[in-house]
Amino acid sequence: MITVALLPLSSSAELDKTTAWKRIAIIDRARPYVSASPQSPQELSMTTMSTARVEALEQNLLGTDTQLPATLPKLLGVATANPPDRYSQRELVDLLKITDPKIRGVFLNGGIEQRYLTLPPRGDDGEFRIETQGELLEKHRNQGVRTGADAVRRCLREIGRDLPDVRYLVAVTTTGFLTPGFSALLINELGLDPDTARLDVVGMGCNAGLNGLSAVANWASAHPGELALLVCSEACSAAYVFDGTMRTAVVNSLFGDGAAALAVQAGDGGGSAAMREDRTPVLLTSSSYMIRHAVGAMRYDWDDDAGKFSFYLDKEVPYEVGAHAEIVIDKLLRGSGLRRKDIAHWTVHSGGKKVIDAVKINLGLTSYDLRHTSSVMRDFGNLSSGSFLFSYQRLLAEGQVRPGDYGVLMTMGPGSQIEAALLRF
Amino acid sequence: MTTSDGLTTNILAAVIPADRPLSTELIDTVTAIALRAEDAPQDRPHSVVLYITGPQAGQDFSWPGSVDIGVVGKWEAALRRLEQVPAPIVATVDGDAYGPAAELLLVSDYRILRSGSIFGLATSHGGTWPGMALYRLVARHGAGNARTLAVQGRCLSASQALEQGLVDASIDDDAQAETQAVQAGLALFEASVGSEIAIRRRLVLDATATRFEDALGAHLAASDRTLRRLRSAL
Repeated sequence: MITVALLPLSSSAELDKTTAWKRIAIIDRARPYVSASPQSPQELSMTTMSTARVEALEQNLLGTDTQLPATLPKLLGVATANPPDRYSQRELVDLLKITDPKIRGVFLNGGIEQRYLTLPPRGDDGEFRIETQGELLEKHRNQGVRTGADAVRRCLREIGRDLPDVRYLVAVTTTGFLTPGFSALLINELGLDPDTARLDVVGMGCNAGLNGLSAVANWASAHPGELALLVCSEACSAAYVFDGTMRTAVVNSLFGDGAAALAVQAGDGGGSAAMREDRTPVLLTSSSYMIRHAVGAMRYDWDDDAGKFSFYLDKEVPYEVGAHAEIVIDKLLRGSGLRRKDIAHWTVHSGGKKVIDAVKINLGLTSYDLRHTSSVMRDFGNLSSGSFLFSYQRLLAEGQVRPGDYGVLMTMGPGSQIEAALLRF
Repeated sequence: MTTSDGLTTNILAAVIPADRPLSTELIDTVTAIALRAEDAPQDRPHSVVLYITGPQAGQDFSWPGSVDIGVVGKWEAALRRLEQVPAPIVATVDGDAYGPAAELLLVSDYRILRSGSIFGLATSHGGTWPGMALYRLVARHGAGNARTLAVQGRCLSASQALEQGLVDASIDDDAQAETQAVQAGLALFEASVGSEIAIRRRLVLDATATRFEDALGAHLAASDRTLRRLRSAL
């Protein structure tokens, strides 16, 4: 057993093994470092048996040829879309006439270079006009339907499928409240089959894409061979309050507009023949965690002073998320035989610079692990529920994924909630 | 070893033969000890002790030898994995800390060398081997040390390496001295938590390559983590 733990399995290693025992035994006699204080090679091997077990586990579970059930939901493809207007953070600081150096700093040092936004209409004086809640809702509806529908069309094109193939649609949004919601509006806009099943996930914030994915994946598993779609459509500029305070500045400096669509199917008959195996992972499992004492740390609720909905982010959010990230990931991997280091690809929500740092430190990730999270943040800002799909799209486009690789999707938002899902390519 | 709070430190020991060209066996040995440290139950402290066998004086071997770049990539990945383990790493070299032995020392937290031996990067006809050891050397010990070793291709005596902070102890060539030095190294980490050491290692390595503004968030996150540990211990 000990040869597995300590030494390469070569004949020349036998000599080293003897040396090792001798040297380790010296330490043990000098002071009882090892609880059992082994006196002989045989006893010593007892203390390292668990290692041999773990390595056997690795070979069994991590091999690329393990058969997975055909009914597991498969992520067939992803696409994204944005509204037409894009602004650099510097442009925005000037356009919004922000002069407070602290607020300028929030805009310019948050790891964001540019974002897609729909700014308010200009009034008679040429200045941006304060929008009413009704106007903001209208913006949410128009933008949300248009970019959401774009993302769906691109996604279907990407996987070689047609609109009539869609059998289930889950629409996720937080930046406005509509009845009927985006699922109905998108079925109407796209001309999907009237018997398409649908679900709206509303008001759950940045983590909601993975809550929606759970619903899509469950539906797909129960309806093998049928195509399900997740659409996350957020017009974050329909959730802006301009009042010159730091509270709104933090929010206004961060969020951007955009939509993402993800196609999911279990069983055979999914996608075009040209689809590559390394781009269609299966969803193995998921885990959730609500940081109950931080229930009010992220809120989108009514602001009486502004007479509209307003988003609030507590300054403790990054630290609360970071402190609880390990719990979610350990739970996700429990029973899988996987260690954190076995995860080749991390797709984490671009929540904000500090959130990304906190996740990185607490999960022991590298900047490289979070490169798509950071680059989506830089190029789009925080797109709320669809952000992680923008990163996921970049991961697939990069071409580094290999069949057999494991990936984690991770999002966080109001609740305070952390969601995670485990993929296998 | 009994720590201040009465817990016993479990030693995860490995013998690493670093006196021969790069092989998958060597990579597997380094990966195996990293996996053991990752899998070690968190209910008591663990320390990794590497017994590295370097070449004896006059023994020459080519590093990495006749391997392709894919194998080199796997070696670097194994070192990186070891560098990230949630446990302190004490390393002692029997023989010279040349090539792979020096690379292993550079990812360790406490480094022990025999007094008659040398510390040096592997050299071949074209110059020193340009692996990520160079990056670690610059990040942790500065460009001056790196220039001597990597550009000029010099080796340092154990006492020079000790002076320059590349190793922590230079010992006589006997087993008792080694044991005492390993114990001294382990004693440094008695009150440490392995996962926290892994974070400090990351912050130290990242520091040279990160703007102050970009580093701040990571350091605040690590500080918050420590504050929470303190609070939960009260």
